[in-house]
Amino acid sequence: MDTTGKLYTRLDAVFWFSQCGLALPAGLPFDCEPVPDWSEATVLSGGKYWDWVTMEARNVLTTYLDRFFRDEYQKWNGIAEEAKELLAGGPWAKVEAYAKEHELEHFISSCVRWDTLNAVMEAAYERFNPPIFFLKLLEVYESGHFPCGWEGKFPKGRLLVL
Amino acid sequence: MIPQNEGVATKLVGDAFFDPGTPHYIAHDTMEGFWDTYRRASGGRPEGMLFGKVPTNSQCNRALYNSLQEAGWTPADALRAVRHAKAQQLEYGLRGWHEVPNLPNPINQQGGQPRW
Repeated sequence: MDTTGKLYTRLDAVFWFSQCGLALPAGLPFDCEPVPDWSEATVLSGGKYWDWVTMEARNVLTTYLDRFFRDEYQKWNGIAEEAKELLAGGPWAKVEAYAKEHELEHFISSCVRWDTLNAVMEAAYERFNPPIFFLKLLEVYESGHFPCGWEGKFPKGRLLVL
Repeated sequence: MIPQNEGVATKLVGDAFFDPGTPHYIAHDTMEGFWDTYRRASGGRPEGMLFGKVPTNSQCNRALYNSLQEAGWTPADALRAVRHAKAQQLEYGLRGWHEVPNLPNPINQQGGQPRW
């Protein structure tokens, strides 16, 4: 199984948000600061700064690919389209169901979609040794928590996690 | 990639951030609408239809052409400006079919009509 295939298997196995509000496990790939509840996580994840950070992290990836592997980068949209179809039928449907059941704001599931799609993109371009952010974020999701904000001047600082 | 401080620019009346109704504000507002289709949702914005993807240089140039006309320019003047931008892109080896290297962050305009 290739890197992307393995990643879909990992994504299918995630118990989304199952540990939110509980203690954060050791060994997460960021310096993390816990967030106490969904109320605060909602404000943070819907805010401009987290929007900026997650866009910036994606731009670091695409700028790297465009600069050093422009021909390969031209495949981005095709890879993204295929990934969106695969994710929609599995992990994203589970996240959407959870969000609906717990009456979460619409942008929460969009945050997850953005993060996981970009994790797939990082995996798809893994052989070009791209900068990694979203694959690390995926480890936070796999631990059952929700990465929802950033404290400090990115990329320095700490990840805020529910 | 074209360095930010070397990109082709044009003068437009008004403040792009705080002057709703002015050409400068309208041009940026229109471009923001274009970029929003590629962005995720946030507290004040729905998820774009093309979220996760990136536009090509040609698609961006078309959006620029439209935004300048929305701001009150004639099609001929808008086309002239876009041609300048296109010429610079070609100088830097950026072809129309190339996907753009990054998406701009929202500029957070104040006032005006909501786009959604």
